[in-house]
Amino acid sequence: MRHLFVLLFALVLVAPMARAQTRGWGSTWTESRTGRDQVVRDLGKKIGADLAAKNEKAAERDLEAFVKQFPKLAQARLIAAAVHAAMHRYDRALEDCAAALPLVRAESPIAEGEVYEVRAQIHYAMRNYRAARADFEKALSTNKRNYVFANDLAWFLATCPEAQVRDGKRAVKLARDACAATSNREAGLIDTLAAAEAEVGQFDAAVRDEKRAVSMLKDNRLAGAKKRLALYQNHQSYREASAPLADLHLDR
Amino acid sequence: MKKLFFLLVLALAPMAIGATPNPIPQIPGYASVQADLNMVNHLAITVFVNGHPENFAVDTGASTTVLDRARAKADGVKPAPSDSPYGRFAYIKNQALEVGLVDSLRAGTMDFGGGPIMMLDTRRAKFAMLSRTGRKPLVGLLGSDILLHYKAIINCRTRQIFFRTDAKRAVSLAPMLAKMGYTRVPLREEEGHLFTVPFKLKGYEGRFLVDTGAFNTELSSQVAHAAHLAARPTRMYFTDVNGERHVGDVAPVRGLTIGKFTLPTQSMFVVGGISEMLSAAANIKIDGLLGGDVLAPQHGIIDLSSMSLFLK
Repeated sequence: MRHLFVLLFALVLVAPMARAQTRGWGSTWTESRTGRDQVVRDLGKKIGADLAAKNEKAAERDLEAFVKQFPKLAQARLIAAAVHAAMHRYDRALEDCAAALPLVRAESPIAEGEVYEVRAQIHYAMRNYRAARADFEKALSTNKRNYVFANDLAWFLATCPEAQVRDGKRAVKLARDACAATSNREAGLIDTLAAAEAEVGQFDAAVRDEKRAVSMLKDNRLAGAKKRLALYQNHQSYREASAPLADLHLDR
Repeated sequence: MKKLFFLLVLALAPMAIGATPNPIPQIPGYASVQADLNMVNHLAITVFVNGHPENFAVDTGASTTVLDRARAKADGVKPAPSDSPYGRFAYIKNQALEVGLVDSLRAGTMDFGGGPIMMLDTRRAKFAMLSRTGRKPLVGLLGSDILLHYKAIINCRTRQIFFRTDAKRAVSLAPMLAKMGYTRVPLREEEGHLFTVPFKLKGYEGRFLVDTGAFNTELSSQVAHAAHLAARPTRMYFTDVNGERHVGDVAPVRGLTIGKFTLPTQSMFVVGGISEMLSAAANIKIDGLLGGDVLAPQHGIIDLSSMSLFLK
């Protein structure tokens, strides 16, 4: 699980630094061009290095300095949430999310859903699946047209380990809508649709759609998709055991 | 968190500053685009978004490239996924805007490749009013993210824009333009890809945001007060990205120098609150914005390679 939160941390800050568009203007978005950007990124890198070196004390110290330097920056609080979750300090992580909410509401209400998504994943890590579902739902309610939120909720509803929380029928609806909104061009969404179809016992459809997803995937998601295809061919649905976060946020 | 900013400037009685463009010259290592001038002095160009023609304005006051959300969807622009290096959202003053990924963006002979844009509900931001030009509606802004990346040269007078395509063939404009009587004013890049130049007015020293997307030049009320400008009320206003209107007074301004360039006397907007808004966006104090009513008649050439504004 720690690994997952390191990935979540990467999602919040490190990934934007690490990658840049090779053809096009994307590097302008990811470069540190001014002093504050650089300070934020340097601090983020330092905390990431602390975590990678398993030096939690240093990470905590650097994190405190980070939040102190940017007390009104919602992203700083979200990074704090990810770091605390990576340290299994889930209560602290939830406090960080609580602190991020008013900041993000004041600063950029449209991004409120991002906080709910992070909090949902913390709840998931704590195996509080009902709370996780509530937050995935809240995230989507902030922007019903955001197909990424719809996809994350659909995946959760289709694959959650707790049967009472799953809702395959709704997952199918959400995934179908998301696929339609993206003209069936997003392999990750089709993968989710297949998982939802399997959850409601529509294995023929699940196999068909998973095959489509497999034919479109070229990256690190391909192996997982192939495993799922084998499951559906054996009339088995897929369960996200204990590692939803990386998949939900980084691979989907 | 990325901080982004742009202004939309409106006027009740816009006047186009005319200058018939000559055939666009070719600069080795650069691709060129000829812009039109719409009624609100925008440098309007046709941009092909994933092959679909759309009407954009070239806007140095927009820190990122922006496209109307509905048009983005129609043009096949995908929302950025959660693992996007650009984030799902980009932030402007009070709101987050969804980030979209464009596969292909072209204008004139320039192929920008692909990259991130912000998707905006242009009805909210009053783009519809901006676009009342009798032409196609304005649905996007070509912002300073792209302009910076391709080291754009923007000739505000001839409305010709050049994008560097060959890093080895940078052109040095300063010596040539100096011979033509231009004065070079150094541009400074601020946070959010915004560009400022220094100015002085009756002992007051400040900085202007250089904004090709602004219909006219605007001064903060603090500058007007410090410089004892005789401002009178008007029916003119500007609208920010949140759709908030800011009423402007107008004042004759004499002896304004931008760097070492002395501007002829002309009337300028005086707008309360503009300094706070601009300063928050760039994280430094900015006292106004330098718009099309100065940039075009003063033969403004913005060179993002040498970070210069040339005026004459």
